[in-house]
Amino acid sequence: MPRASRDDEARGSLRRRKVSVPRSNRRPFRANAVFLTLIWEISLGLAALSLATMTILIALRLRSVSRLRGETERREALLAEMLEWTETGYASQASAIKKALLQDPRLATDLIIEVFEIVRGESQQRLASLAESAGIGDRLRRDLAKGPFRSRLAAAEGLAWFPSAATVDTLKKAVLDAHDDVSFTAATTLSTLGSDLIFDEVLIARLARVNSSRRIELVLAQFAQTRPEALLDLVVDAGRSDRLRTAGLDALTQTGIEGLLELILSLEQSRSTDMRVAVARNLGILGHPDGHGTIARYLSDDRWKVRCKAAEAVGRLGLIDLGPQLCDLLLDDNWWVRHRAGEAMAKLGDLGISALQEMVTLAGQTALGQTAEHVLAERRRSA
Amino acid sequence: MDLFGFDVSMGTIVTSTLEIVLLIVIGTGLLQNGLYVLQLVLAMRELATQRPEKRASLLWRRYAEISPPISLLVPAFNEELSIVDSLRSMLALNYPDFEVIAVNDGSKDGTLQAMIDGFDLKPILRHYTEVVQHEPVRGLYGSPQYPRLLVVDKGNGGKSDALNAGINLSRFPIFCAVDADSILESDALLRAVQPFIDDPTRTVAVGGTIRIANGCRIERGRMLSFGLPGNLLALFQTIEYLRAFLMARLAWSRLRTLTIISGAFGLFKRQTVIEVGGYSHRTVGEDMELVVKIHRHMRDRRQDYQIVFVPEPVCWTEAPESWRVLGRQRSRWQRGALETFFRHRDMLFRPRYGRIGLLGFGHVLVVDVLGPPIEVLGYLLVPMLWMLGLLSVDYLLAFLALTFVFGIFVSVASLILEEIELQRVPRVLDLVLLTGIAIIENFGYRQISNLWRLRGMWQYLRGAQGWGVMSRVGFRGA
Repeated sequence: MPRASRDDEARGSLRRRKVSVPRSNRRPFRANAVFLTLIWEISLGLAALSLATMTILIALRLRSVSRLRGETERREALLAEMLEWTETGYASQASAIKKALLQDPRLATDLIIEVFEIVRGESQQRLASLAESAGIGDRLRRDLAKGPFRSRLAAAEGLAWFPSAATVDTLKKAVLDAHDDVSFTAATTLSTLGSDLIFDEVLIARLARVNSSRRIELVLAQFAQTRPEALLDLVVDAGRSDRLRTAGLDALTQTGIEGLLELILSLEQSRSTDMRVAVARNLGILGHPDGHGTIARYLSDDRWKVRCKAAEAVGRLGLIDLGPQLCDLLLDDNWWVRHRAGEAMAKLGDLGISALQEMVTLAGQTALGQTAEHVLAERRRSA
Repeated sequence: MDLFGFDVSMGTIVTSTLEIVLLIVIGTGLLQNGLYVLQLVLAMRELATQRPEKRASLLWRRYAEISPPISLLVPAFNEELSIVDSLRSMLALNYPDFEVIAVNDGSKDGTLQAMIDGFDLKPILRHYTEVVQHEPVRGLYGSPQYPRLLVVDKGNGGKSDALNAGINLSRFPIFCAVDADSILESDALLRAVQPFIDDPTRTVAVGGTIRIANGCRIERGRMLSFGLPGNLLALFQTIEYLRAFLMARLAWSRLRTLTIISGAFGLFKRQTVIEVGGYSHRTVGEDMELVVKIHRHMRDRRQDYQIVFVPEPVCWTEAPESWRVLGRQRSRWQRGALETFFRHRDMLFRPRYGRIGLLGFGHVLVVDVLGPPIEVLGYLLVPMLWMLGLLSVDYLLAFLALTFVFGIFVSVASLILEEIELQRVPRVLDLVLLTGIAIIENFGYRQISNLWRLRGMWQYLRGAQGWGVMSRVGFRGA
């Protein structure tokens, strides 16, 4: 067949049959057409739905504009009045504030917590009793018992300013809250209020569950202030995770309680790198001369993180006799160890500095010489 | 024509071929839109469960004590006009412990001198080690008045090279890569660092939201008030950014399949980035490439990890307002995506890489690799065939639905997400305007974007390198 007529036939065939028309029977065609129509209809429906939703949202926003403006004005006026009252303490002003607080409990609750962050001492106490009489304490307790997550969390924090038997009761229940943040905040608030909350298995299990979270440091620090003996048990318990134990040790060191040095030294031989790092760190913070032997041994630990912390401790405690070991660490394989050893030497006073200067002179542009030179330069800058 | 004993006419062959092509066009469109719906549902759920805390003071009270120190890395190339204001705004960030390392990447203008003059800098020495590769450092500068600031002057090597220099010089366990022409909200670090507080062991990277600063009131590197751009192109990009960040990244973050953290604002665990060799050279998509490298590294070692997107920490950036510059930027982004995809193509659908290989790379395949050429093919083929009378109206409507109508749904739905959960658009009129933009961007802008992406593909195939010129109006003019 000549090419032209073949092409004509092809074009004719294409014209005769649209792509969606089947070759054999009508059933696939229907399925195809229904499917394609469905795509169109669903897309159109979704687009219309989204536009309708957006229209509603815009209308809602329009409505809320004047409400929000009024709320902002009321809030600013009330805030100014409250701050003034904390200074003056006039009774007439107090009743006006109470009335305003009762009018809009949600605004009042947010505002009171904000003001608590600003004022201190006697003013804070006066404000707390005024807020309690305006029912804000009740509202926070209600929020903590059955509000959404954010409200529960804010309530657990805010109740620190509303000490009462009812508050303690609500907080104790909140320690069992499904959300860890609420639970931990309730526990720390209870601890702040001086409540005899037991540092029990439930709470420890919970802390262990979020093992790596840095939030547990806050909880443990709070408990270290009020229940250090409970933390001591936790730290010595080898069955607990290293993370919990080391965070507990850090928290305890901040309190400086009796027997701390013995506790730290008892952990010296731990096989866990993290624990040895914690021992070196806390010995450095504690600054007790009896920690000298452990720090000296740690300077040649096979883990670089331990050597690093030990070097820091040497600088912090000014252990001049460990200077030669620090010099060895300036040639360590790990950069961080070399750097911390250099910094520690610079902290050893004239002896350390002159040793570093000598290294600059003797070692010149070698890695050792450069470390010494840079450490000295940084020290001069920060001095 | 006789084919293997069957009488097959040329018309039948052409028709069948067209039918297959059309099915591919419709199928790809369906797949893309299916992914968008999935993203929307996931993003909605994520925002509903993780509603951001509005008060920064509360965050400070809760987390300041336990927030890890952060090194801000600011690569700067020819940023003479804005660098001092940008650095000042970074130094004023609301975060307990951080350092700012500005890296002058061999600028040809007076960027370095502007920094020296602006902060009264003097040459200094600093102890550091070269764990990742970059062009030689020419000098370091510091000032006692600004102890948090370190300025690095080095030979030109591109953004990734400058960031590598910053990584080497940083001292903190986490670094935050920020574009020199971007503005971080004062509490952005405090918000972005949350995953590193909640789960410091598993979290290796965190991304935040980038928003368009055009139209906002900015003074001395600080955002004073929000406003919409007056330029139509920038308005289109406002919606695009909402869709990309509030929908796509949030959704993939929930599924733990995030394959990109914007180069303009991202936090990384320094040690992990060092382990993967830092930022790669010879790619214009260094931000995506780094995230994919981290995925590969962690999965190869069977380590548990997470890469997270947090919607509320916001970084403001200036969007291009000219077609030419925007086109170049989009072609470059496309090139970057392809470079990463093909460099790590062995991860695609490979069980070893789990959901990253299946969903993360599958998404890149559908949306970035196959999507643009197939959609453009559809634009050419479908209307033409319909006009020639070779195609039923059902096909035409389905194609229009998938490209135009569904696009409206996705864009407006992103705006709904923003309005319900974040309410960052303060004025009602702006909201109305953005709704209108969410509709009209599907008619014209979307198609042109696809052409830019095709150009990016072509550049990739030709092995083009480099970023091209990225001229900006500057925040001073905003």
